[in-house]
Amino acid sequence: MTQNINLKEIEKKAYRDSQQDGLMEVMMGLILMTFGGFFYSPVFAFYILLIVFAGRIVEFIRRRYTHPRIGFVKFHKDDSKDALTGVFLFEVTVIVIMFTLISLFGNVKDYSQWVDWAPLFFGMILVGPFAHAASRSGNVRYTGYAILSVILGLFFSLAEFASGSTGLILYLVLMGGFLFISGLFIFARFLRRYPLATTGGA
Amino acid sequence: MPVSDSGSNKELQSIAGIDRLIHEPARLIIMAYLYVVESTDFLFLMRQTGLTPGNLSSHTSKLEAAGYIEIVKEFVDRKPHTMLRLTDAGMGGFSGVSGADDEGAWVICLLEPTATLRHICNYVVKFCII
Repeated sequence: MTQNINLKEIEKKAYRDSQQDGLMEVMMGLILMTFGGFFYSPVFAFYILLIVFAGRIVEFIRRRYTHPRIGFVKFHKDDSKDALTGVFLFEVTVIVIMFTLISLFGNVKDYSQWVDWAPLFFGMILVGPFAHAASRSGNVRYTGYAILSVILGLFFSLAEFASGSTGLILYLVLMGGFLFISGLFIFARFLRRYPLATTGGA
Repeated sequence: MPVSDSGSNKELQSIAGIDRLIHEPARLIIMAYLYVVESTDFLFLMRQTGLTPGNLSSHTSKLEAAGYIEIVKEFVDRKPHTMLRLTDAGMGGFSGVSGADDEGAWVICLLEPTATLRHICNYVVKFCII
């Protein structure tokens, strides 16, 4: 008797369904936008609080809106640790490669010109978490975000602005804004698709 | 094709050794979902498996009675909440039927961020081992 069980596919589906509320996009978008704002004014320094409490805030909203609709799932802790290590290794590799390439071909003469390339750095760094989410969930949406972050990063690095940090601020606000709005749209669609059950309990 | 007596005996023994409790399709899919996660609640499992509440409840009760899964009933915000997880016996039983331990897990975990990198490294690893 042969059993054909694709566990990887089952895990992907479970992960994909647990992330279908779009709240991670909303939170990531908020962090990017406030981080961009921080380069404009120190008032936006609360982005640090957002980074620290992002997990708890998302968890709080999920407990109120997501879990009553689609249920709750907890994934193996070892998987998350390995994934974080993988993303970290990826980021270090990307930074080293980018640094080398820009030093060789970026026509960088002083420190201020490095700032011009910051959007591309951020774009490449964002590929890590998006690629991880795409490979873990099998959802094309995350691949789209990864491609968009690189294209926007390249565009804002090559475009000329009056001040060096303008490109970086615009990149972070635009990318963050896009993630925030698409996350809200996904969340609204999620609430419509899964109305709260009025009777019975899980 | 004629089968020798010793050969057919072995086949019959292996069929007799199959755990019918796990091999029932609905229970097999329940076990598969519980295998890939640490724990889940009743609602999530119901949505994933596509089973009705009564059906799922009946199957999970049988699996619990066999010691394959653990069911914890609790109250969250004064509402009943049922959490399910696979026991060690369930892990062992399911690994046996699915061959779940065959994957090169460390390669997959370490290089999760990019599928391309993962494939390349898997090829390198295989090439080096061969």
